Amino acid sequence: MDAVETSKSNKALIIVTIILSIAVVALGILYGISLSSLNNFQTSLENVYQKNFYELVDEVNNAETKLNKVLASNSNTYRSKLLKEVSKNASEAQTRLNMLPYSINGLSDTISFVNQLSGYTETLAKNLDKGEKIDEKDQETLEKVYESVVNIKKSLNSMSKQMWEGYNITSSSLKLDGDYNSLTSDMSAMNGEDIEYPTMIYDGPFSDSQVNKEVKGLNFSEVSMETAKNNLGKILTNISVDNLKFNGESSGHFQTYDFSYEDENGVYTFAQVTKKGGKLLTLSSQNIYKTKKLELANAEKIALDFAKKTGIESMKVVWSDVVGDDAFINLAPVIDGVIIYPDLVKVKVDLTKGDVLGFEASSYYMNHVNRKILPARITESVAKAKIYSGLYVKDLRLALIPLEYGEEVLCYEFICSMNGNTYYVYINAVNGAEENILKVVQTDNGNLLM
Amino acid sequence: MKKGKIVLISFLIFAFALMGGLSTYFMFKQNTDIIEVASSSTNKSVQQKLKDLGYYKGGVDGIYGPLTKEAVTNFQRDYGLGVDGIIGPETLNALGLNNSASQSSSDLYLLAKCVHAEARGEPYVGQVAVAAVILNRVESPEFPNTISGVIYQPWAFTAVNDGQINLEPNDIAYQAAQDALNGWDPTYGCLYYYNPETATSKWIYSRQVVLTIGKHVFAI
Repeated sequence: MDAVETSKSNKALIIVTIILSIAVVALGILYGISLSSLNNFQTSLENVYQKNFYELVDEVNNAETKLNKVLASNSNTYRSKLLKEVSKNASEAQTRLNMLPYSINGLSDTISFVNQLSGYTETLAKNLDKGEKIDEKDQETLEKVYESVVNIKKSLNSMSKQMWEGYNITSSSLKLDGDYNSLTSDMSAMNGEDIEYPTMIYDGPFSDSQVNKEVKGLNFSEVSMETAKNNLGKILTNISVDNLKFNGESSGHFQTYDFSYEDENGVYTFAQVTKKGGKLLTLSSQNIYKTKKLELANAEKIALDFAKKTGIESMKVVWSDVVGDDAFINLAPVIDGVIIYPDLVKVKVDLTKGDVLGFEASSYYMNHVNRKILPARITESVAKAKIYSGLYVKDLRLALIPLEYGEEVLCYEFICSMNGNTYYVYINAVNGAEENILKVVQTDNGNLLM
Repeated sequence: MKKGKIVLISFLIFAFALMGGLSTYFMFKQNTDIIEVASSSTNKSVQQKLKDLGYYKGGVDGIYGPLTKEAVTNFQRDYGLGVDGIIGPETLNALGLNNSASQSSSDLYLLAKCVHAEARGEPYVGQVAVAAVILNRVESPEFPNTISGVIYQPWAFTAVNDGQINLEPNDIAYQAAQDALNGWDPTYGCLYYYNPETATSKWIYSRQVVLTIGKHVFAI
């Protein structure tokens, strides 16, 4: 190796070293930039979390003070005012709680309690406004509820202290291990471990009484899977029974046998047949055709015929609408001229071939009983006088409607219009109260009742 | 000669490192592009329309390439829309491509997005079921009380965490969301679902299973 060659390779080595050094420096700078922007993002995220957390603390503190005052007050007007405020605090607290990055099972008891607190206090306030009193049982519940709120407040306040000492919600939430992301012990203590949450039963949103509804319309004996399959085969006349695949059983509100079927185009149909009585409960399939050929009136007839095949008779179309290339048709029984809305059956018909793509009878089987409908106590004209004078009445009929929390009332259903909008107004046929107003909202996807 | 070899080897190592670094960079960068992927049938009709209007010169192949992006961007600029090159609802409306998946309500859109992100590839009824679970959560005291609250609840849905929620939903997802909003609930009140093959949470197995549709197990 001569001197020239050595110096040449030395030069090359120097050049490579320089290039590598530049590369290292450049990568370092890039890394630094990305790290700092990552830090910026993390900080702004953390700020959002902290804001939520502190707002949660505020709402709970406020709710606690006001609930305490409710217990000390003897004036119904003042109690109602306070309870409404507690309801609002609880609802706000619920929103904040749901925005904190804890795994969905981590705080579900607390969220549930806060939601119920909101519904319960709102219902109590409404009752007070109606002139009712808070009875002993409610007073007892309120005391227990107050105790739980105090405990939540304690947990939150000790967590606040941790935050002041630098606890970072974002970085602790990133340690998610699949089951629990590291809730601090103060937070997890809130989830029904150290705090007992009282049962709240009331006629309002999220009441414990709403959770376990019973099925009223299926007083039949259980059938075998084969019978259920045969029943389904009789309804789906264009499918041979042998092609129906048994998919297992479902065990929710309803006990069902589940079947599926795939046609030559790969369209998947899923059907559930009740164990009790072997009735078709749900059918669900998708529309692959995109050419409308049928009129809504054809589809309505198809829907009625289909319902009859499943064993649901004497139904009438009470509402129908075209959404895209499908018709959605609602059927309800009509007894002595009264529409029975609680027993609603929904049918979806495709407007190309007239196939039934969807069938939903869970409301029907949930609520259907032999009802004795008492005659209306007030006349049409008296009821009509109760509705707002600016509404132009186009049609009216009698209807049994479900109120929000299980009760059923007989109403006059007025179909009215005002300023080009359509409204359904329900006037109680016994006491003349305005029970509900629905507005028809026209969207690109059809009409909605809201 | 020896030194030459060393130089060569170190250069190769450097080149490898550079390639590795760059590919990692692009891998992550691609993530942010996910938003631009609309369904190929939507892309086709968009390309056709843009071609008719003289914005697009390429073939109508349904692939969202640089030519399509440029055409969309130019179209958006001329029509005074938000210029982002993304075929979103606004752009579709301006193009007159108001398919059945038009955004009449933000709830329907959001629901369809979540269904598409969480359950595309599942049987139709499985997609209705996912939408129904979201709506059941809205009704349940244990969860937020709005559709957006449920969908964006932290850690609730993996597809929201990893950004797949921003994919443009297809027609099936819309149909499924619409059916669920119309009251279809194949799960009869289920609040949870998971894929037993990929579920990481042991806790989820403690819930009472109601039924299985496709790859998803639905539970109360």
